[in-house]
Amino acid sequence: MPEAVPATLPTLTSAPRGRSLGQRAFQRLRRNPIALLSLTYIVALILVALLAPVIAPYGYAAVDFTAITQAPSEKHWLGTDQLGRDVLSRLIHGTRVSLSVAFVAQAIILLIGVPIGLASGYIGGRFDLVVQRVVDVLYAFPSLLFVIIVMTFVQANLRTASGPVGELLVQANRATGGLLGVFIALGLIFWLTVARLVRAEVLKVKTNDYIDGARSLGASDWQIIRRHVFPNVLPPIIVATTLGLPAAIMIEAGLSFLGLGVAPPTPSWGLMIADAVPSIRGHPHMILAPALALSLTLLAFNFLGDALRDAIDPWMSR
Amino acid sequence: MTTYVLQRVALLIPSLLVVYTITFFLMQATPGSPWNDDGGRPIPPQVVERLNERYGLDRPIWEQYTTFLWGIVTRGDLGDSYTRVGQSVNTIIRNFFPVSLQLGLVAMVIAVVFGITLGIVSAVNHNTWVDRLATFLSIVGISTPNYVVATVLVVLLAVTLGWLPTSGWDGPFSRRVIIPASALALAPMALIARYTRASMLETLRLDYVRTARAKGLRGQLILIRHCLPNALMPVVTVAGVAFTEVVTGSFFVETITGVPGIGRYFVTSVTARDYPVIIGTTLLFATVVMIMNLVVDLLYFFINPKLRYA
Repeated sequence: MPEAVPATLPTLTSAPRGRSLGQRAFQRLRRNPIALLSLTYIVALILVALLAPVIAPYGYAAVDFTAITQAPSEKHWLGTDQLGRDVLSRLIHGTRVSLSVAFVAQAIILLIGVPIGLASGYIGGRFDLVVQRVVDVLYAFPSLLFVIIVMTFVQANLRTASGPVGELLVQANRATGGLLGVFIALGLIFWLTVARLVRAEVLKVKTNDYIDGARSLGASDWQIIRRHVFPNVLPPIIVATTLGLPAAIMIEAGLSFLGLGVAPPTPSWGLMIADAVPSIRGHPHMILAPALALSLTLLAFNFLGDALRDAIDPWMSR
Repeated sequence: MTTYVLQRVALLIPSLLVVYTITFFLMQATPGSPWNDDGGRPIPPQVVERLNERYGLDRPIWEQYTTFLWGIVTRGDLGDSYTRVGQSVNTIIRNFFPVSLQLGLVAMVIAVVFGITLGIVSAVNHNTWVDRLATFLSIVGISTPNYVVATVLVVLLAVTLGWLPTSGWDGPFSRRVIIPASALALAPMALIARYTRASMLETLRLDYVRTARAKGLRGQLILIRHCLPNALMPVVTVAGVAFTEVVTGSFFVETITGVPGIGRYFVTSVTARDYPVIIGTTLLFATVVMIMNLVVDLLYFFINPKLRYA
């Protein structure tokens, strides 16, 4: 293929020239103290999740009926819950639940949403029409109700599924303490948002002259998508993904709070908050620990996502 | 204009039909029946048979689908609850929905008033510490789930300081409304503040604002009479979406603060497979969402004269 004519792109005055988008974004990110703090917090959280069994002083399901709802002490830094389980240990193990929901669910969402969005935007025509109708119909639903109904549907099916694949899924769901169901339900619902975003971006990119240029030079559709369309829709996908991570954490915690997410005794922060609600009056320490952990984590992800959006797309952030 | 409204209202019906159909078949495809609560006491099979007969669950699925739909369309009858024997879904909605609606309205008033004020203050003091603090707080507000806010408020204001009751409901004008309404209001408030700030900044840069200033009008007058109406355009959309989320998403707050709203009822009905209640609530909420979207679009016409004549 002959060399493509280099197009002159509008350069930002503040942006260092001649570097890749990632490098420039990182440069801008480095100058943002809150973003760096958030990043440090998230990295620390990932380490805690990886090392959970080593760091946690007790097991997450270790019940001690002689030490029920104790206030923070030297033995139990954050006290114990209504079954005498160490709150700190459950909190530490809970990072695994939250982070795996964030990353795995988001990966599933991207795996479904991005190809459908790309195809729907690029091919257009009847396929696009069908996808758009599905998206429209599902958007008519009150979102939280839809999440709850789909979640119940997935979890109930994951308890009773049969056949070789079904039994494998049932086993996997049990082994992960109900997490598999959360992944599947979130994937089934939120691919929509990603597909919609990607489609809109593709439609924008498609009208550019360099796409026609590439085609006239004999590039195949696959080459155009891979070399020209995808790299251009990547930045908004990255931003949406970063902001989708806290959204997934929040929904998992919310569902577990309602008793629809992970199965006890899996230590989800949402479940811990729900467990502590009845004793909110007498033992507020039980609820404050998971509530603060959850808020801080969401905050860190949101700050990072916000900063990343500003860093990647300076035009969006006036 | 009238045709437009009529068209939109007419579109409600197929949309609701789709929502009904999806909910119905999703519930059908969910294992478990209303009569075998897992972990609960086993019910004798004869009783289950009688119950199925009584509620028409022994009929073919298509018949159930059409019978139920027919009841809704012809009589507005959403059927009887399985778990609350002898109560119709219509009664349940009449008892519980107004509470959620009132709570949501109080929350929205708080969110809109404080959100817009915060946004204006931010925009006027652009890039000062006031602005940065407000922006910081709005990210905090957006990323804190309402059940965490509710919890912290209960622990702080009710348990520790004893200023407010921990739970319960006495109508929208009692002291009990403060904690649940503030918890619900925080996220939409932060969102509204953010949008107000952004669109105020945009408006403040426009030529007609400079003209107004050159004419010698007072700063506050310009702000309120000239900038605000234009700046509120995008805010209306956000507020509309936020309103539906507040009304339909109050499960958590209702649970923590013991408010007897429909949200709390919905969650228990899903786990209990109380099909009529699930379908009734979903249809109700879908209607709220769609009407709200319509209201937002109509508000555009009134706020923006350009659209009225277009």
